[in-house]
Amino acid sequence: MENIYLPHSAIVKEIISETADIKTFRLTFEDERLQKSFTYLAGQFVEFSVYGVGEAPFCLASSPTRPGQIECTIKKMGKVTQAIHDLEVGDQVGIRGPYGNGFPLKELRGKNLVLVGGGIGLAPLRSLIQNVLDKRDEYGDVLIIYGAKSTEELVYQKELEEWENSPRVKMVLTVDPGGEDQKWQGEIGFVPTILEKVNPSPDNRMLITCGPPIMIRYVLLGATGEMGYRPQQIITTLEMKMKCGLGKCGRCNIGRVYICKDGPVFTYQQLKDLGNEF
Amino acid sequence: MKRLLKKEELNRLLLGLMKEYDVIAPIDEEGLILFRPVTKVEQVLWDYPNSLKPVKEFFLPPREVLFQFKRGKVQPANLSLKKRVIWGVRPCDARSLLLLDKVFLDSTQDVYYREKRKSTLLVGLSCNHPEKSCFCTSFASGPHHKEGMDLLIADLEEGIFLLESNSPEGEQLLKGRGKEVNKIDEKIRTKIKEKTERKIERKLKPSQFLERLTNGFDSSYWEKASRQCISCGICRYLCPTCHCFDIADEEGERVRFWDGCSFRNFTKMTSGENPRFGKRERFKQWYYHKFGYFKENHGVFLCVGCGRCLRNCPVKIDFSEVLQQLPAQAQTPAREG
Amino acid sequence: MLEQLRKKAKELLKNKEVEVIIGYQKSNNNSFTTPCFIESEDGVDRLTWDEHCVYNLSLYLKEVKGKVGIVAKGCDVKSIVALMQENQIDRDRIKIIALECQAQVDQEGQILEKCRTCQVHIPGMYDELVRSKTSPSKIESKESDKEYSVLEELEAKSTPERWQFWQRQFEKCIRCYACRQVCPLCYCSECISEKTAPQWILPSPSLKGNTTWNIVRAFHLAGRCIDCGECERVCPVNIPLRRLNKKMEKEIQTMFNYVPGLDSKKKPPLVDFRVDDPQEFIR
Repeated sequence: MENIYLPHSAIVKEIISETADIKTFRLTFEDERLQKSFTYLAGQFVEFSVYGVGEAPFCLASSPTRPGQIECTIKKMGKVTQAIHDLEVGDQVGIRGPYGNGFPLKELRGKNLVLVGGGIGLAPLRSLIQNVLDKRDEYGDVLIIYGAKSTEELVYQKELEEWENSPRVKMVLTVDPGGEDQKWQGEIGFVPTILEKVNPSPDNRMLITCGPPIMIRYVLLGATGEMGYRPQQIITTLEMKMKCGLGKCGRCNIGRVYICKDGPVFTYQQLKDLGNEF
Repeated sequence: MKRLLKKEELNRLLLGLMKEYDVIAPIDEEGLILFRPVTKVEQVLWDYPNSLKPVKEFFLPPREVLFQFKRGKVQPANLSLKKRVIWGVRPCDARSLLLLDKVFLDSTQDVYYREKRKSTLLVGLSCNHPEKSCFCTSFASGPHHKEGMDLLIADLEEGIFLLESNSPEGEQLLKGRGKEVNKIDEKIRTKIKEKTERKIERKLKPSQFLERLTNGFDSSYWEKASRQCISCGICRYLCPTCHCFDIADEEGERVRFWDGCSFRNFTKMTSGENPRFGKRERFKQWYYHKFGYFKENHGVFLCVGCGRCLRNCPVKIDFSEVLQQLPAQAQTPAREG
Repeated sequence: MLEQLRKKAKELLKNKEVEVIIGYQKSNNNSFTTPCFIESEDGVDRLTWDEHCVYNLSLYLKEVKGKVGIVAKGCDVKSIVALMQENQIDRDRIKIIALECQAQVDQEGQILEKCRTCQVHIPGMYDELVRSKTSPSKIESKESDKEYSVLEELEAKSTPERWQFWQRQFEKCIRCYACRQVCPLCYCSECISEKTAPQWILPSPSLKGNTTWNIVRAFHLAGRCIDCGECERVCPVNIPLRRLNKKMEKEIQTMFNYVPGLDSKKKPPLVDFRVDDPQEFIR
């Protein structure tokens, strides 16, 4: 049987600089057979190793509908992410996974979607967006509300235009007050505020959100408030310190679940049932 | 299979095992009772309070190399192990391994743990002198239980031992040794067993825990109960069922090592977010994991009543009392912060 | 003594001079004591005082907010002084109920090593003092009861032998951090052992990381440790940590003629610079 802690060797094929401290890494596995057989779901994550420095979990920002490579978008925060940012094209890294449950695509099919992202929280949503766009007929209207502190901190800038021009997709971009520049044509305001302003009807709709914890909190409150979303209609993906990715090391245990194994994607209803540690 | 052995015969059995296996047994190491590799029968303790560290250290070691990396190549640690025997395991510790199996031998098997389990025979020793801190009988175990062992040695005192196999391997070890067990021997054994069980005065009512924990998540009780706690790792590390670990790269090796929910950086993320920053939350997590979540997920409590947490707490927190005193009704929510 | 202690505690609570009193109570099976936090007058009867009050309760001063009363022995008061020297606590919110203490014993009934050379049977600073009625003759003094006699055996060893001794000790360390957690002076909001960038101390329990951890801690306590001995008491694997700290204490005393925890106005020598500081280390 497979050794669950052994990473597979992968090569950095391309590095895209998203913002001053966020980069997207495009990787392929060294083993071609693995590259072909590696499948995953939008919303799942991998453990990314830089040998000698350590390992950390990152969501897959690419979509399983676009095979041939995987992508992770990573913000420079600590020891491991610093080492990842120091990588160059051609460098070897370790990847193990995919882990976690991923987005419940079955439940999303046929529904209208509103995707609410903040900062680097767009990364898991990007996987879902690409997935939806590649299977456009299976889903209803898509509304993307995305914001960052400032215009310079918006990720996937080129792709944002591409998404906007896709059929039945509406994009609302926003930056926090004071984060706009002279060319800025989008909204100005915090993401939860903009969500309430756009006020997408909850009819036959699912709301999927990811971003900083404080943003998620207000999105959840706002959506279930006057906007009228039921907790079952809201999906979020949680961040938690993880090590093993398999529900053994214990640190991502919240309530009876392990975020790494039973999550990271949960409905707001499920989170409510877990008690109020989040 | 049951056989009756005299002390000399038992020593011969142990000596025989030492020739064939790596034997790990309780010894006195500078005043600490620890399970350690032994090569001489005389080193082995016969009558001892339970070891400081549980035998989990031989399956989930305090530090373990998962693999090494040399010039870009990952070299997995050598998993093959010489057959070994852990001799003198107490029933509580033997049972703890069955609980750990649920974590490490689930659908995503942990090969490091599995290989160690596979190559280890457990020869247990019943417990005739439980300590005041012991409460195994509250958790589906007891001082003479053979659950999880290959062979149990029950000390009938006066140099006579009743050995009972609990696996084909255990039976193999017993074959051709000692003499048959008669009814009188069985009676003596039962008497000693019952006497020992009566000595265990600490009795918990686990049937109430789950409901009380569910009701008491936000209770101010936890604020009070956790106040003395100094947030060290002793109770977690010395617990035979605590299995949380960390993984890090150290000098060309990826290692995993014990970690515990009492530490403030256990759940601290690089972003600085920490869902269990407060002492109360960290203190509480231990109880919720062992007596709430694990029970819900696996149908059993993650505790064998060995009493190490009680015996070794630097500030004498009475962990079983903390559970016992959990209020039956939900209390007012604790203050924020 | 106990009666007087309870009386004083009651008064403090009654007059709202404190909101909580940190003291000792009997442990559940009555065989030892455990720290307790008393918030009401009726709780005062839980307070106890005997030779099992080993804990240095000043550890809790930082996390208990508001006006707080603390039951303290002479050694504990030294750490309160040390915390004041380092601006960690506000003396105005603390009421010290000091207890005259002859000696404390461990669970086996042995007098604690530190008590044999105790100089502060009557604490050096307090708001209330509870005196003992019995005469102070409990400890039979021995030839070995000199302040640093505990170091003699180690100091007689050669450097390689000493290194070997400590390597053997540090090998046992399981990195439970009970030493740090029980130490009133280990109050860093982020311990050097928790830092990952850069990672000064290997986090896993290996000889290398354990050695760094224990030595770094001893150095950080040099000139600060007041010898309450709690780290050694709580160490589950019996590392003689007090000897490490005592050695540092001795060095500091020799170099700077300074003993920590006695004068709240004095600056610890390692955070202070004077032109006449010894300079032998620069050669």
